[in-house]
Amino acid sequence: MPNPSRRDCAVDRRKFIGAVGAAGVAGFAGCLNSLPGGDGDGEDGIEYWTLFGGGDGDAMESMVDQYNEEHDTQINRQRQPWDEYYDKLYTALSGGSAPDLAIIHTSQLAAYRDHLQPLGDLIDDSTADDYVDSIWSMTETGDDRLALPLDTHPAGFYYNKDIFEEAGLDPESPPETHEEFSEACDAIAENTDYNAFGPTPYGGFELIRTYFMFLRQTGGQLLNDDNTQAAFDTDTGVEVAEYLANVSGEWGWDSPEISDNRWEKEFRSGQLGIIQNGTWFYGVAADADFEFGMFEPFVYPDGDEEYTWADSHTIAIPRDPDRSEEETQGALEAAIWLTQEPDTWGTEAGHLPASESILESDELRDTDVWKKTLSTYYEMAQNDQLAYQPRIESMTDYQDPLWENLAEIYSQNLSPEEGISNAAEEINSTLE
Amino acid sequence: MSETAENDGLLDALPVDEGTVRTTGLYVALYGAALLFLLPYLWMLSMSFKTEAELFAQEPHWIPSEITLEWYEIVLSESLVLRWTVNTLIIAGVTTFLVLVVDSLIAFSLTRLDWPGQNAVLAIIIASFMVPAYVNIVPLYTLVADLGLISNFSGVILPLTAGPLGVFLLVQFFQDFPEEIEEAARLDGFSTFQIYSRLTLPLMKSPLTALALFTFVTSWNQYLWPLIVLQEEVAYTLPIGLVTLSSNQVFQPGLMMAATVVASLPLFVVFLILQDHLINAVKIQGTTG
Repeated sequence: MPNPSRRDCAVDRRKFIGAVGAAGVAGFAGCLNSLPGGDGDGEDGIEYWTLFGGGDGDAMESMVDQYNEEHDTQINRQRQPWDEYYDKLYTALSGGSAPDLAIIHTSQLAAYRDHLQPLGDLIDDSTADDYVDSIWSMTETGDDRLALPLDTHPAGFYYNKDIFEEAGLDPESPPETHEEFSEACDAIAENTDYNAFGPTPYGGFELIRTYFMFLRQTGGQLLNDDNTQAAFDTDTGVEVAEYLANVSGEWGWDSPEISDNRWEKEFRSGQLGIIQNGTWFYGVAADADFEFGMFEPFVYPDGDEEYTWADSHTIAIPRDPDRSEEETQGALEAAIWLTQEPDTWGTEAGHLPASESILESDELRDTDVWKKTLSTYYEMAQNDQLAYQPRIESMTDYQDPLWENLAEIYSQNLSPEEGISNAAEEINSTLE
Repeated sequence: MSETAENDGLLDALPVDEGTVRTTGLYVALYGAALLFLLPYLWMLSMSFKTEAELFAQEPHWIPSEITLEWYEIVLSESLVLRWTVNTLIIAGVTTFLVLVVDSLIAFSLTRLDWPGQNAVLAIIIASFMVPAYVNIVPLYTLVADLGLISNFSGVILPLTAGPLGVFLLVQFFQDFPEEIEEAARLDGFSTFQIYSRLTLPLMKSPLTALALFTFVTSWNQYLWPLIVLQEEVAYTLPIGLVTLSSNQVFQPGLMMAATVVASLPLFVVFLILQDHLINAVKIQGTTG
């Protein structure tokens, strides 16, 4: 090591400290200045959180753009990741940096009850009249009106017309009764190389939807009236589980494997006859290489009642003590506009709008999406055939034990009796 | 038996000894293992160029029969991906710089200086390894919120600079730094700070590079903490932003894979630049440990 003179050292040390200091300051200044909103509480506009990606995200983007063009007050739409949306919203609320508007599923309203601005005093009956009655009443929790419904997104059964034809079925008359449904599935299983029926599109979790709709069709319930106990641990509940077990077992309509997105992949590649999926599936199915159709899922044997699983997106105003009355009013007006004015949510995203006037508009009724799927969904909504899952503060308390056991039943690892009683036991011990 | 004899005969005929065979076997095994590690990345690349029809085809194809740039176009045109890349670079870069400065100062002070309670401080730092990061999230969030750093890059960067791993790693290396060199430098008139800045830092380039790379990668990939702190789309880092592109209810493997390729490319470049130093750091650790 060469021996540096003291003078060199001193210069180098100063240089070093200077460099470190400058770089540090520059770095921090860069960080602090690189954000337009600074601390992000959106003083100049309406801070609006959504969880929509894909086609839904594009539709919402164009709605917000249209609002911003027509109004002086601007909406700052912040797209949040879907999976962590509710956790993030919760942290933001407890950290005191709540947005002015947020998308909340109806099923989550109970959990956010204390954190949302009640709208009762801010809106009158004429506002309520603008929405479809059944959706409006489904998005109410107790006495509080906490949010305005944007849509409803029920589940239906989508089918591949090519496969129907190959199986010797009439592709233009989908099954309407449970006998016709069984015959169709049997025909597909026997006459083609494809699977006949996927009761879930994405994985174990969505098995809940088919289980729930079939359960309600036979008059069963998931939870008791005050949501303190499982109510599906009955003969009916076990029979519905047995039906699902037969789909992947005895009847050979599907294979007993649960893996992520298996059914959606199979359906999109033309390897699955019928799939349970929601309104949002329209765009995807329309892009496929084959013709598809959709029918009402009222096919459970002995099902005296006609119900399908449904949920809604709503727009709510999270509580914020720092927000002025004027700002709250502005946020509310934006929420009313978003749920009432643009027809984009129906025409582009394929959900069933909650607004009466949009539903009756020619713009929506002339679209393909209306003809192929939305009209059927609309009929179900008009006939009060939408079943919303019981809302409790933590939905996972009953959803997780139920779907995990349903998945075991579907994979033929557990008998329906065992799986259902396991699920009920777990749920009861959590809810108590 | 006869087969073995035949094989022996074959080997005898070739001008190879046992050593060569062993080396060849070793290389075959190593390259085989490397290929196994590479497979998921190749599959990612392959999927990102496939058309939707082929993505959903029943039989997997390694090489797409028709190459499409559709997914990359969506990622690049319909998102703030450039902004997110810059954000991630700023956050990862500043974090790495701060970690190097702070951790090396702490490690130097713990190993090369004398002050009471050194061992206790080191013990506390090492003990903090035992606390899972998730435990800290709630108190840390309240702290960051009280400081007004929500949706601010400093709120993401500062908590990472206080990690124990860097200190622990550098302490191990700084301890092995020969006393004699330090004494010689002192006789030549070096001050303590000069020993730190002109002797220790240059000689510890390899462990510092390893720490830098490690910090950079961790910071680049972190998801949960920036997700909580950053609330505006323009402020997102790549891992968060790319997740907002996909829809939960519609499965789009091509889009996800293209997004993943875009997100991992900068890291790949960083690794290529630093790989010599990284290998050196590992070698040093192996021979002096």
